[in-house]
Amino acid sequence: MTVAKRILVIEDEIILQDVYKLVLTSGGYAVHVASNGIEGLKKLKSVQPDLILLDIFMPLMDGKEFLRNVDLSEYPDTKIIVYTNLSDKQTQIEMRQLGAHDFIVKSSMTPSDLLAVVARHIGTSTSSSPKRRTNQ
Amino acid sequence: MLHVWAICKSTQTHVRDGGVHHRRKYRLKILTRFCAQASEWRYNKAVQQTEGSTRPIGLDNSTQSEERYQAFIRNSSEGIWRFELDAPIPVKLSVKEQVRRIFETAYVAEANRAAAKMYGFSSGGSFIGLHLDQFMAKSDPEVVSYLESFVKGGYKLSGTEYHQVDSAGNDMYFRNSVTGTVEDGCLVRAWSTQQDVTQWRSANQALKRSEERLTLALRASTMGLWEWDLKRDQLYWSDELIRLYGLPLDHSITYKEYLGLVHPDDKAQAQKVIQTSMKTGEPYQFEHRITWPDGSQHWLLGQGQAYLEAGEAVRMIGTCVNIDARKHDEAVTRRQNSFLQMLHASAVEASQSIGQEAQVLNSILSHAGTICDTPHGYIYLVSDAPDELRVKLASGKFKAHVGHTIKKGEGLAGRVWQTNKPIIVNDYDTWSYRQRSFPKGLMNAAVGVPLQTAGTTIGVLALVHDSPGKHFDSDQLSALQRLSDLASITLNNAKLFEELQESEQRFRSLADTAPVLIWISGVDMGLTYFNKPWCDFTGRSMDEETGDGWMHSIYPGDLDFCYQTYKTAFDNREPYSMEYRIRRYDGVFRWILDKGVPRFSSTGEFQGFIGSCIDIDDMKRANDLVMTNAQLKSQQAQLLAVNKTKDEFIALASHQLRTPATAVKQYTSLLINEFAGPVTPEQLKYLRIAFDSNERQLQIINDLLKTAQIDSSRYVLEKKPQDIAKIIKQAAKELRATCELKNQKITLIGIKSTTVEVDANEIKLALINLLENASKYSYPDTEITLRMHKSGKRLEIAVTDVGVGVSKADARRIFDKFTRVDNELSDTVTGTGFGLYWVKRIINLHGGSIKVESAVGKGATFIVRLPL
Repeated sequence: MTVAKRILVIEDEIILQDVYKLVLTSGGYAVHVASNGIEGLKKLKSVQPDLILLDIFMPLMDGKEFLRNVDLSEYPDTKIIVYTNLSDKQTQIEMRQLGAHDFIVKSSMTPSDLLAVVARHIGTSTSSSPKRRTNQ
Repeated sequence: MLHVWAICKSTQTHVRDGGVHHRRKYRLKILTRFCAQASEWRYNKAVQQTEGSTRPIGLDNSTQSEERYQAFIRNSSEGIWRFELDAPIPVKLSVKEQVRRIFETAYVAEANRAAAKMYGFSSGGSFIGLHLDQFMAKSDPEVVSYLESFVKGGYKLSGTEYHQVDSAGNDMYFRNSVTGTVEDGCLVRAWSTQQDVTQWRSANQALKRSEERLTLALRASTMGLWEWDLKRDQLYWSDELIRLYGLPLDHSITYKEYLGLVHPDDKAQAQKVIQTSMKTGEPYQFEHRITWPDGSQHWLLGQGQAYLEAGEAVRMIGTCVNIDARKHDEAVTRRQNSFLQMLHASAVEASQSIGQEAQVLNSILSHAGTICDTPHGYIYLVSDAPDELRVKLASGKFKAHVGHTIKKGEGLAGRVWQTNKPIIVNDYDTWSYRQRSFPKGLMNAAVGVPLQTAGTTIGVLALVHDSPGKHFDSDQLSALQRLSDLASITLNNAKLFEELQESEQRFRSLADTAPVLIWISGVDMGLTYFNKPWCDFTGRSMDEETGDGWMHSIYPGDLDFCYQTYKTAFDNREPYSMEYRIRRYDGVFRWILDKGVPRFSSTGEFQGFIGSCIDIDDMKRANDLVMTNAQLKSQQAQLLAVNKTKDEFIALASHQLRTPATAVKQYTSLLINEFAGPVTPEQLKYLRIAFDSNERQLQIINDLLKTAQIDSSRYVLEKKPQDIAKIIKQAAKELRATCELKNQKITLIGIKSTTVEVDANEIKLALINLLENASKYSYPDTEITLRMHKSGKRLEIAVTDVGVGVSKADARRIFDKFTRVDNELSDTVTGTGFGLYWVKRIINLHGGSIKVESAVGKGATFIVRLPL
């Protein structure tokens, strides 16, 4: 049995947290959630996810701040998808500059869309992904 | 027997033939003395006349005459007495013995009262019978010598004066005459007369003292005295007077000779005054010149008066003093006065003729010549070359020397310059500093004085005598020094005047070329000067503007303010600054800024104001504009702020609205996908409706958000070089599915790889939008064409459909916000009314343009132009 790929969902809206968790778990991924950037940072360390779904608008620490506080060099294999309803160009550019691999407007995605996007970035849950490292 | 004794004149008289020169002691009161003497002389003469007779006349009438004689004797004021001797004294005895015997044996046989009185006896009675030695001291050497003289003199003594002290201790003086009678070789008796001359003598002595004083005084004052006895034509001159005429002391003089010594010009006057006085007896006084034997001329002041007796002048007396000194002083004063007058005239000229210093210097040189009594002179001034003086002016024989230069130390002028002091040279040709180049004899005596300003010599004034024997004296030198001061002042004034004029000129040039309007006012607030720019600006002449004329140029509404501001500042002697309108030459009122400051003389006296003005009309209007602009800017800022707030609101609201819609989307999706279990068709139907509705909501939100973003100034385009062909193909690809639903075909024409600097995403969206519209507003089974065409610097993309088209009126509106045009298909078409607004905005942000060509029912072509 291969280890499931881990996804960290950083999102403050609980209902959305729940539905993502539902959907992604059904996709075979191991889903972890954080409600804000601070929680996110903690979970990042402990979870060592393969993918992060990062919301921007969050209390305590927003998505931008989260990315600023992450030393991405420590997580070279982690894909970061900014998953937000803020759609302005400026924010997109900023998030990409901060290290995001993708920028997706939540409201344009159905659950199956989400699974497709995730698979595109890290493959299906059970498939092997390149450049996978074992954490110490 | 009456014996009358002669009393001789005590005076000595040297009598010469014709002209008489009396030599006598001087008397103060000549006249009184003369009279006194005359009476004495007469008396003596009278006595002399009877000298011969030894006996009285009229022996026959002896009793009568005896009585008369006795009475005469008794009452005479002279002391008369007769001495008898106890025994006759032989004349052959020694003088000493005789004197002794006289003392012892002579007694008063007769004496009158006067005689007794003289010896302190009250009457002759007590006197009579006294022997000589009873009232005369035998030991008194004076008495002894008197008696000895009597004996030796042949028993005669006359006019002997002797001194005695009376019982009260008073000095008494007597004049005594005694005659002795000798009979048969013996002295038998003596008669004596005596006058008490005590008073006379003291008077005489007093007189003598006065005379002595007078003599001394006269001697001290060198006043000469003369007396002229007109009857005898005897002219008497005092020693002093002789000296006054320079004559030797033993010189005798006549009136004629005197006249000869008088200066010819004064002779007539001399005679006249003398003769007038002789007629009138009035005193006269006149000045006249006389000539001394050595030829020298002297001035005398003579005073005199004639004394008349019975209308006829009998005598004249007068005094005389030498007034050479006074005359000399007068001459000197006259000369100094004439110098002063010339100096004064020069000074007046100098002070009055600013700008004509050549004239003044000429006049100074000319006056200097007059003062120095020579026509030859010159004035040197420092030239431009260093250490060089140049002749500026010259007179007399030096006229040709104008322009001649001299170095410091050379010649008279050079030396004066070097020493900074005046120099007088009495013999130029032997002077050590003389100019070798000058011919001998050119200059004899010369004087040079420096012209100085602030202690520095700037020139030399010199005068020259060319004939020997003439010299310059100290009065002339000091007059020259005064003239040189005047010359220096003149030159200095000329220089100052020139500088002043230059300064004035500079001011005027500056004032007239400066870009500001300049004015000057006096102490009465009236304006005295306007510069050229002011006059040009107002189009009025200085005459019109000066005084209060300037007020006519002020804008009436500003005049009060203007005048009040000016007046207040003026009264307080303080600077001011004000703006007001003034009429320009063309009648237009322009705002000017007027700044004035008070003026003071170098001594602190207030003199009025000076000020400058500039036209600030444009600036003022610009300022107003600036204010408006500023207002606008601030309004704009406000609007922008508001706008920003609006944008932020929209962004926030949209975002917030999206969240629940997203949730709905996810959950309905899950349900539809039977994630939570199977759904019935009916459930599915309802779920789909719900899902679609939510999608529509999301679309609205997207549209709102996009519009807000596009409108905001922060809308960012990521312009990069892109291949437009690729973008077009992508856009077409994305529409394919939609178009296939309506069986519409998208045809791409002229697609060539072309690099354009664009935001790929945005352009793609714009093209998608156009294609979408084309699809929406076309019927099924129709074709949509997208043509690309490059021409020059432009890329043209035309999207054509054959659908419903738009009317001309609608064509204008379709690019506006919130517009949906009503047409056949509009009800069936979803849309928010934003689409074409975005497209236009995007294209415009790329520097391009979009337009539509269409007609109702004929389809539409949207033409996009983009710059390459």
